[in-house]
Amino acid sequence: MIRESGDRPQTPSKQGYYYLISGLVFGVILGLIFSLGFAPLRYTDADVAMLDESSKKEYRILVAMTYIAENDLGRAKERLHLLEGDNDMIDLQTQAAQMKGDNGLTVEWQAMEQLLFDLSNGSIGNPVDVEPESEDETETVEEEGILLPDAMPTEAVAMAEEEQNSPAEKEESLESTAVPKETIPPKPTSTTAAAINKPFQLEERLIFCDQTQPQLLQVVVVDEEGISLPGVPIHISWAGGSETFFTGLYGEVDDGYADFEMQEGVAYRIQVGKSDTFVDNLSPKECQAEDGSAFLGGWWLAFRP
Amino acid sequence: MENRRYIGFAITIGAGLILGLIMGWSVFPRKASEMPLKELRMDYKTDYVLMVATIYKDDMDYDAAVVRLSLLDEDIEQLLIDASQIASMEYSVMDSQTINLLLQVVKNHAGILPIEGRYL
Repeated sequence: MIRESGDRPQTPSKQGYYYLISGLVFGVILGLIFSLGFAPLRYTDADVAMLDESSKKEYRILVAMTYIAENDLGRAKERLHLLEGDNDMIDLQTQAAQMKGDNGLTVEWQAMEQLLFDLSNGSIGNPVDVEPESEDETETVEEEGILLPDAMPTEAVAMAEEEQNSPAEKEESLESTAVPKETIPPKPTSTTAAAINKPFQLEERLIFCDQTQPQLLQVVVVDEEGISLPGVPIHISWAGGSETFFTGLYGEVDDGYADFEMQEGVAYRIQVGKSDTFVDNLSPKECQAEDGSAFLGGWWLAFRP
Repeated sequence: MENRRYIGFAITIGAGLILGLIMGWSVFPRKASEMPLKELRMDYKTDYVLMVATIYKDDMDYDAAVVRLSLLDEDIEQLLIDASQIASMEYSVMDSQTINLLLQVVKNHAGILPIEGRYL
């Protein structure tokens, strides 16, 4: 028997063995491609933790907005835990930061920020349904000479301010009525939760008459040193509604600034931070333009711990 | 002899295919972490519906509520009916009423609820 050099003798049994192995491997590969690629296992009745990232984001928004609506921090925590993330707070913070960058000021973002704030403080922070304990709270403000009569026209308001303030304060007060932004303290370097959590008291209250910004409720919040505080929640409520907004959303104006557009004929009540004091009966005020025509102005309020 | 090898090859491919399917579906299934809201379990859907209804009761934004519910199911009314039934058994009366409120609004296609009906 003559063999060519280099040829290796192969028995039929050994050839069969290689065919079987290669066939099995080929079949397994085909099966894996099909079961993982073309027809992967479909899950039904999924848990919240199994949701894709966009659904989880929607879920977090919903939890935050529900928290604002019903004020149940425990329930919001339970719902967030269903997501089974490594850290609920970090996920919330990341999403809130993304939302702020993408869309800026939205109700959803405000709700997320409020929930974050209250989770970090372990307290329920939306007191919009809380009724004042007594009329004393409003009276306290009046005693400080800050609350102005509703029917008082702008000129009378200015005169009343002049009577109440010292000479040094007069100029600042009048400037505040015309150009409130100039009285705003310098920007802060940072804001701690402790600073935001302080009870803020109304320090100054002025009728704001500007035809370009009618019916605007402007709020400025500063700390003890007069440094603007961003991220302070301001709870505003009115007959049939409530809302929470935050300082610091208009960085180009001031970090401690926030505003809210009031509706004609509606009386508003606001509470800043964790303060027990409400400011009541805030509604658009009648102002007089230079040409003598009337228009509805707003309020400028300054708060300090 | 040649036929036997082809048959053997085909049989092992088939066996490998079955083995691959078992591995792909049972042993190493694709991680269940990319599920849409539609695939949520019904009790989680009910809680989701409750959240939407609670927000609606607060802001009365019918369009937003419909958009949020449609992420769960295209048949919003049936979804609300199912959620309402579960809520009536497993949730508080207040929660159940909150869902029923939104169900009634969807049924009526009113979009705006009379102010008297805001808080049941």
